[in-house]
Amino acid sequence: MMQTDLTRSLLLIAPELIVALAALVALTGAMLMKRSRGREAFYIGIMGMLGAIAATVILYERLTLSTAFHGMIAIDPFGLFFRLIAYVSILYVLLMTMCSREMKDTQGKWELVAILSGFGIGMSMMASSTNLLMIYLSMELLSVMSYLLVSYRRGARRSKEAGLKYIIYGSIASAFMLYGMSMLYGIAHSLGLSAILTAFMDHSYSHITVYVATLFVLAGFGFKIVMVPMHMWAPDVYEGAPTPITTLLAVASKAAGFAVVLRFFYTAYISAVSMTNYYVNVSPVRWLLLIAVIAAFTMTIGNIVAIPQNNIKRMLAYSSIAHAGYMLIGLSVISKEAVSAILLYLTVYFFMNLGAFFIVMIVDNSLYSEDIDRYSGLSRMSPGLSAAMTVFLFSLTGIPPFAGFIGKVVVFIAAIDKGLYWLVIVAVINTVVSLYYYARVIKKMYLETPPEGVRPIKVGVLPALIIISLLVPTILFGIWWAPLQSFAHFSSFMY
Amino acid sequence: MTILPITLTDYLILSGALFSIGVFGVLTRKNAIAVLMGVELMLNAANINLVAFSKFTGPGVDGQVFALFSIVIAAAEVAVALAIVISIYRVTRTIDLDKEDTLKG
Repeated sequence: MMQTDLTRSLLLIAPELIVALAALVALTGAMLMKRSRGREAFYIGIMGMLGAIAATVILYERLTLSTAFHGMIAIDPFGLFFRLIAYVSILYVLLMTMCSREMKDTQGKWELVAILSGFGIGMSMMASSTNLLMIYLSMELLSVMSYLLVSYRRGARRSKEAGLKYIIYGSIASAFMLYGMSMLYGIAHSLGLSAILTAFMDHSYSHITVYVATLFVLAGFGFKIVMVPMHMWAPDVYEGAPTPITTLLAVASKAAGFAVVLRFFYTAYISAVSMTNYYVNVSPVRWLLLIAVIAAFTMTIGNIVAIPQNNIKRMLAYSSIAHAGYMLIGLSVISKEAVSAILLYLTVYFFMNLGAFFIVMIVDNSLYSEDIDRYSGLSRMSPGLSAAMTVFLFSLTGIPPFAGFIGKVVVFIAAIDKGLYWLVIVAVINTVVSLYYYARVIKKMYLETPPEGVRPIKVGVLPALIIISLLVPTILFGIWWAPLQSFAHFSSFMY
Repeated sequence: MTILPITLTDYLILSGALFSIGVFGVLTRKNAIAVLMGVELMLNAANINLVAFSKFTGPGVDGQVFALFSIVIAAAEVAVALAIVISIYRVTRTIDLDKEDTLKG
């Protein structure tokens, strides 16, 4: 019996096994092929990710809801959705790294592939875990890998400083989270998330303990989501890290944070009213109001501080804080629609944010600068790049007909459904504010003249293909979002 | 004189005190290594909690297993942190957190 359960469980984590295999091959390659310049490492990484994506899609198609490894992880559409996001984003980051000037002379490309694979496994386990121990382990796996990635450029002071700041903030946040988890364990007498729900139902707790434990655990999750007041690290780390890694943090790490926070609250704090589609908060903590207030602060601070920034990566860092705020609106109401709205927003955000960072990297490759001032007259140097950047930036603002608009609309509708009007009004005002700093870049690109003697920027075939692959969904999902919506709706199901 | 038995509350007070000392260290120290030591105290406070809850409530050993895992993870995290501290020391010749200020805005 034990044997069959183990085999079954191993089959259900086939994508992770493939990625782990890729990591092992990359590590072996690092030892054996000292002379190689590391191009082969990327091919192994890309093959591993493609294999993992295929395996995830097969699992998704032949889905039977179950738990694996004695209830440590759940196999459900929700987890599989985030596993898919994990591997697709790492695939893109690998492709980005191949095109990056910053990473070209970096030693240790084989190890880089292994570390990225570890990041992917951490993220997919984070989205699937239904046990406090498993959440902690996978989150630490993801964190330790991202500390390494941020400080990966040898001898680059900014990269090292970003890494140091990241690991210090990160380890403090995870220490708070662990303390909170230990209190929850004291309440529930078990590490399973469902045991916490049972303890809340039985009213066997003291109020103050639950409050403190929830706040502490939320601090750890909020660090990954980049929500105020756990946002201080983001601008520095995003600016200092190599651009492909910044993208990984902005897209994948944030998605992982949302996965774990949604799973945590929906499994441990919320119970479905029997025979209906309604959910109620059974914990003594009024965390919905707390999240709503945090969401308002997160988007306001993100948008206002983004305005005076002159480094485009730093500006996009603040903009990603603001986007975390918009997504948190979906968490401050409980309904199935809200979960699927967050998933849809994350998908859309994935394409448009990745696209914006990718173009920042391509521009940096030829202009050696990340200053917004250097974008003056970019439309003369490369009309294609500036047109694509305009689409991504308008989509990030939330202007129709681009996908970002649909993302915002579904989240706002989910909040209006539950009568959270004030938060939606704050969000709409914030959207208007955000137009200012996004449009500033567009104005620079189109209305200002380039400095004398600039040459046109050449974009290679691979970067061009990558940009198109991101551009198409950003435009397509803005016009024809029904398939995405039904996919998000189906994926919002948790076991 | 009677010796009172050690109760769950005593453990929790100990871990609360340890956690607070850790937070104090993290907030007041300027040296990167000292901050990491503060974090270590916070993690160990949580470990004490886990083991104490495991001993006093219920039959399982979940908490003790968790504590073991968290000790291992803490070691891995400190190894990475120290590696980063060394590599930044090679560039800047300091590990004072107030002096790491190239990134701001």
